[in-house]
Amino acid sequence: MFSRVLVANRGEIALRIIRACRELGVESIAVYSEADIDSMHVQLADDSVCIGPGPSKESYLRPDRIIAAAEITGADAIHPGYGFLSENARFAEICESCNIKFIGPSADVIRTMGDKNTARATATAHGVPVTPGSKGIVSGPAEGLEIAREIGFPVMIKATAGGGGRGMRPAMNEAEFEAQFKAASREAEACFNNGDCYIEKLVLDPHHIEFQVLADDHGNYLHLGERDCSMQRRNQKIIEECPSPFISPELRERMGEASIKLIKAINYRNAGTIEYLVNADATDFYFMEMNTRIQVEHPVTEEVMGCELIKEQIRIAAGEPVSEHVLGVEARGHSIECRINAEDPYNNFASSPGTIDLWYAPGGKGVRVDTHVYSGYTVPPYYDSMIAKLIVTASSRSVAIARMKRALAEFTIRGIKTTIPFQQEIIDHPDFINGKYDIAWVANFLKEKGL
Amino acid sequence: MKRQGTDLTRPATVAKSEGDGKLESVAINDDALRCCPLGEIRHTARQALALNNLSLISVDLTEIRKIVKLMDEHGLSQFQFEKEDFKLKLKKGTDLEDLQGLLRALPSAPFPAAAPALAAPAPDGGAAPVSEGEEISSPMVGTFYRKASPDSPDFVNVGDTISEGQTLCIIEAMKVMNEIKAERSGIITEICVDDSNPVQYGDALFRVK
Repeated sequence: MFSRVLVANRGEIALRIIRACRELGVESIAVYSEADIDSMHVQLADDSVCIGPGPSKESYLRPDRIIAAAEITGADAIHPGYGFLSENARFAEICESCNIKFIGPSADVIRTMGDKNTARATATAHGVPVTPGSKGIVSGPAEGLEIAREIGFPVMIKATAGGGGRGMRPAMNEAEFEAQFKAASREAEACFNNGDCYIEKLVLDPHHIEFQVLADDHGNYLHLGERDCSMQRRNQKIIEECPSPFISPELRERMGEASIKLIKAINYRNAGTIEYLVNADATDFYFMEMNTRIQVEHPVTEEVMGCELIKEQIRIAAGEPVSEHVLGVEARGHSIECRINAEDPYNNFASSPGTIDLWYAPGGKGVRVDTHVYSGYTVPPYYDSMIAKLIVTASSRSVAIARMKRALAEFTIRGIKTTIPFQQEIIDHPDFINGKYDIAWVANFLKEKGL
Repeated sequence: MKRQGTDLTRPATVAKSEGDGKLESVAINDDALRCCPLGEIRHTARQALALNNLSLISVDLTEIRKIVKLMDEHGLSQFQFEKEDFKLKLKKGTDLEDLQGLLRALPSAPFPAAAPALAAPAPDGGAAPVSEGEEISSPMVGTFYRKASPDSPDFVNVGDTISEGQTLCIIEAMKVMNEIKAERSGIITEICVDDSNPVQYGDALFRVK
């Protein structure tokens, strides 16, 4: 087991990792920017090193300073958390060459699954379904139409140089295909100087279902069930739950098998998540991408599957096998997580940094709050707006919903605006209660409310 | 590592060690005496020892805590203990320089073991003795060296006049020696870090006027 782990992250996940280290008897080293000097993760770590000023580019995204911090504190491993350098293959390589264990898969695996095209190709090569599409760039609307007919409408015409939703046009049927293709191509040409497009099947009203996977050096490859993360606003998750109220046991089994097959084939190590899209009829699933790191919403899996994922990550990296109690574990109960952001949901989700002068977090049976925030804390303006994760667990989904309702009502954060009132509305909504929501749900809800 | 900033559990200990491998002092923060976790004292001591390549001699840290408590109860600010190769000096409250300044102002000559008056702030108004001049702070994380190699002379000393672009020190990280250069000319009034000590981003390296 490692003697000292450097936590190359900040906020709630840094604190989460420090707590896991403490329970494992491992010393933790926090790195922090000058803006984070008062953060709880710095207070509670065994040691801390300042690595730069506020902006992430000059602190948390500086591999040289992080490695230097590991050197001067004698860390033998680095946990990258999520975001920042957690999926940076180059950083993993640097750690390796400095004899510091990177807690995650190897640089090669990160590289393979990090590139979307390569990941799709890898998934296809190993029998995992991906959204059907053209094999590369399409020469023009005529060829595009041929391929679209093969794939089946509706399709999405995507510019290869596109991004941020630009250069993308849906074609719902043959009649509108040519016009949409030309429009997409023209926009791409104007924005990115490259009008090349490819075609992908458009999954209508998809559900975002992801599988948690784990693999160690002792031949254990397992999945720990799924999380339903369809409740998203502009591709940002706001509520997640485990298990999914949407998929059938049969679909769960197929998806689980595909996940294990994929991680075995690529010789994956440590924790990871495979993200899929599931169609409205819950009959088909499509590989979207793989995240070769721990995810924000990992707690809902921990609660339902009775495991501690951060500890498993550290153990696996130290060469130990996945814990006995995790192998062959069965789901029990239901868990829901709300990401509490420092944003004003009734003002277009504008950021709300500032000082929290009163903080009262909910408690009681089945309530877990993962946060680095406390009364008197000032939310810095440099980072993402998530200040806490509220996770409730109960024996069934209906009790979990009642519990989340109670917990959100108890949660008092004074001094800044938060997304809590918005999440309260969602939890109360019949669609959520009936488990009938997809990726487009929040956008529609906001439109209805005129927000 | 020294911590700055307001916090709920104020940094309880700052270890200072001389370059020749002796643990010079472990300064204990007054308020923290009441709530300082033993682990923190142990950790800082271990750090200071490790930095000077000493193995952790069997020091009963529970004993140290008892001593510190006694000091507090009796208003002592200094405690010194010597045994074979081991020397332990505990001082609480203000900086050593403060202490010495204060002593010079008192009539008696020898260093008193117990002097409640020393708990008072230094005569210059309570501020820690900071040399005049602007601070040059560390632009990176690494190990601070005052010279190019063990046999070379120090790049700069207190009182030296420096010019823009002159190498002041080396900060080593990942086996790369980075020369830190002066951004303006001036006179060195203070060297804030001891040779071969680790520095973090923002740590004061020199004061220049």
